[in-house]
Amino acid sequence: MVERVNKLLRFFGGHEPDVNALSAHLDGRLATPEAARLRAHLASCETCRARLDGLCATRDTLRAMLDIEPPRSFRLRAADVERAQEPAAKTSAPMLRWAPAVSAVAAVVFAIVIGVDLSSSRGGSSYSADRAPLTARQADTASSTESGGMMDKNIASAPVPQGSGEAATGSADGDARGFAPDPDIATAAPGAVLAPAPAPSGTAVAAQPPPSGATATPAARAAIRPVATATSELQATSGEAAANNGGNNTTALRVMEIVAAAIAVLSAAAAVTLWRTGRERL
Amino acid sequence: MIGNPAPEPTPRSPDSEPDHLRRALDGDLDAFNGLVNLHQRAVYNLCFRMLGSGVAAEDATQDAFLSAYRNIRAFKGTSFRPWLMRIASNACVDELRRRGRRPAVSLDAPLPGRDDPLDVADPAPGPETEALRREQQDIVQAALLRLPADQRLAVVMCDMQGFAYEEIAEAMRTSVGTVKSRIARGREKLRRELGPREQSGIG
Repeated sequence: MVERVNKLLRFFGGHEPDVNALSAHLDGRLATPEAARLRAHLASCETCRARLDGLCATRDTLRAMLDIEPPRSFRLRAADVERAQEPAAKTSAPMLRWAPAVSAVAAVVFAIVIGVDLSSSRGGSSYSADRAPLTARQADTASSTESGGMMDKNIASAPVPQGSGEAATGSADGDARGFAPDPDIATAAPGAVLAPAPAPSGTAVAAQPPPSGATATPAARAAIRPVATATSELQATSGEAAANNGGNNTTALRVMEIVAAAIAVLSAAAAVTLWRTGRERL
Repeated sequence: MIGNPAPEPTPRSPDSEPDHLRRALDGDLDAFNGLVNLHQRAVYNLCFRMLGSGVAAEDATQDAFLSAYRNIRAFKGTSFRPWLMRIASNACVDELRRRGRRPAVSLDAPLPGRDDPLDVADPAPGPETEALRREQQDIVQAALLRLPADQRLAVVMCDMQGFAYEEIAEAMRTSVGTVKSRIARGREKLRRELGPREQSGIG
């Protein structure tokens, strides 16, 4: 059958030899029936014979390449080995290892901020009270502290009490811990101070984006001093402070969105790079 | 300096290997160095053919043996040589990737670098034959360097180092069928590149 097809092909101007089969045949690696078929074909096909000869000559050339004497002995000395047994430095940039985690965290931050942005622009009227004084200050601080000092503080709504202290830090902090609630990180993060606002928590929860019922706040240093009674109540109950941004506070949100999106995209790119270089190993 | 023709460059399974291997698996450095003695020629040659430069091959060989020693516990197979070759080829790929990042070193360089040990090697035969032969070697090496790394590795291991398809498959962690096709495509590209010149050269 193959033979007939090949004959037909030759009649119409030759065929491309099956290099894979010819090369394997050269090494005696074709199964017996295939080898027999190929030999029969070779007997009548000049193209394939010539190709086989060419491949054979190439193999001979390679075989005739001279072995090179190593310039020295590669015996390992104890000193080499000791050095090598210290914790192996990860190849290439160690920062890259955190890329996937940073990317994921930044994406979550982005999603939350976007959610807040959307909900506040839609339901902005529900936040009428008391937010104006904070707006300007928050915008300033958020844009100047950028990713390193920016953080989100989620205050969980009643049904999910353990989700109270989620902290997300930017790429400057390589140790992205995923999504585990970690109040330590939250309190220790430099420049990341809660911005309490006297909005009633019920309102805040009602206006939340779906995922975690969380409100994002930009860092606001000025708010460090103890403020309203509402805030102290909240701190007393959950150890956290809830704050929300007013609908006018869009600049800070936009900055956060852009920064979070940029971090997400960059670290995702880094993660892909990492993955690809890993694949290059043969 | 120039040794035997490639097909049987190193002893395949020397009697001393199992013993060395057993002791090396327990972290015995002397025993491991016994393995180094047995295999360094093959490893160095593989690296040289993959990288095209003596200095780079030296570094990659050193890295490979260090890495092999450090990871010797991960060796579970029966056959040490393909495992070692795998580590060596990974060392080469690391080096090639480093080059990729700083493209100063061109893989398309027509001739191997200054540090090519072939330049130093110069045994008996007459100067003209020797020059011709060396030129031929350079041409083939340059053509090899233009192959994709996976094909280059397969061709070098098969045609220059005499490994069986199965061993190459083990070293490359792939199937024998894939090895077969990498060898075929590599040979075919070399055939086209070397073409008529090759026919008039050695052979």
